[in-house]
Amino acid sequence: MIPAGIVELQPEVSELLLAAQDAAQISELPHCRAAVIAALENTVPEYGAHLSMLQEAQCAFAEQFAFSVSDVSDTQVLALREHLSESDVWAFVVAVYQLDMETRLALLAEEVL
Amino acid sequence: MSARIAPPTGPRRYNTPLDDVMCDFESAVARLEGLDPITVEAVRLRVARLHDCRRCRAVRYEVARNDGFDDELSARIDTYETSDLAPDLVAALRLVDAVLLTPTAVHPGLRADLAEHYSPAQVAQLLLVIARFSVNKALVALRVDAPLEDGTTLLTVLPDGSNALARPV
Repeated sequence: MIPAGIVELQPEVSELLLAAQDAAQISELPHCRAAVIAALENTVPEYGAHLSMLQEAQCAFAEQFAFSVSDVSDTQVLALREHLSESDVWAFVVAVYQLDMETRLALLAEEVL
Repeated sequence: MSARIAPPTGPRRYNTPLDDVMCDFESAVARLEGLDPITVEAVRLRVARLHDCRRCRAVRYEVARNDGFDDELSARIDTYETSDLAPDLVAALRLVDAVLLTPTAVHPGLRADLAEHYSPAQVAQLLLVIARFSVNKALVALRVDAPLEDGTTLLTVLPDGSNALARPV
């Protein structure tokens, strides 16, 4: 999702950003979205269901990515690599970027547009 | 600092369909003409430093340098609130910090501050510029953000919005 204010003011670029979100398949990562939101709001994430080992690794990574990306650890990346190939890790990290930025834009667009 | 996956293989990173779509978005933002090059460069470097992106910190945009963006201006970004930077630049940097540092606690005066210097379309563009340059978070997270060469590298934006890394400064 792109905030309506951004879509209205910059429609062509918004369409491309939406296409990038779709390509990253962020809709398939609701647990990571919850982790990102919790990290930004400084709350405890509510996942609503039991998480697999992969999902736990994804959530830990997403939370750190949103909170402080330069502090993502080797351990957090290795936990992903136990389940994902390098190319899948890259695709996942791009998806986390999209979730992170989607959340931030939604928060800011309301305040400044 | 070791890379956690193999580094990108080219200007479109790993040349996957996802990378293509991402680069299309980034290039489209680069082609927008509503902001001056110095503002874009200041925003870019603030994003780079907050994310600690080694590659982004090591490049400079040629077009901004030609407009007068120099090392002194670059240094003032780090202390922009107490510097003598132009008010419009300060407002843009405040927006960067709001997006990256305090997205859930935006200063109530930020909207008016931005409106004093930028049109709504320009504010939307600033948000997209911040989003574009924040793609470096993916590189930083996987430690594939190594500078492309020693020293500072000059960056040229091509007509299609893609980047060409040129010669060291």
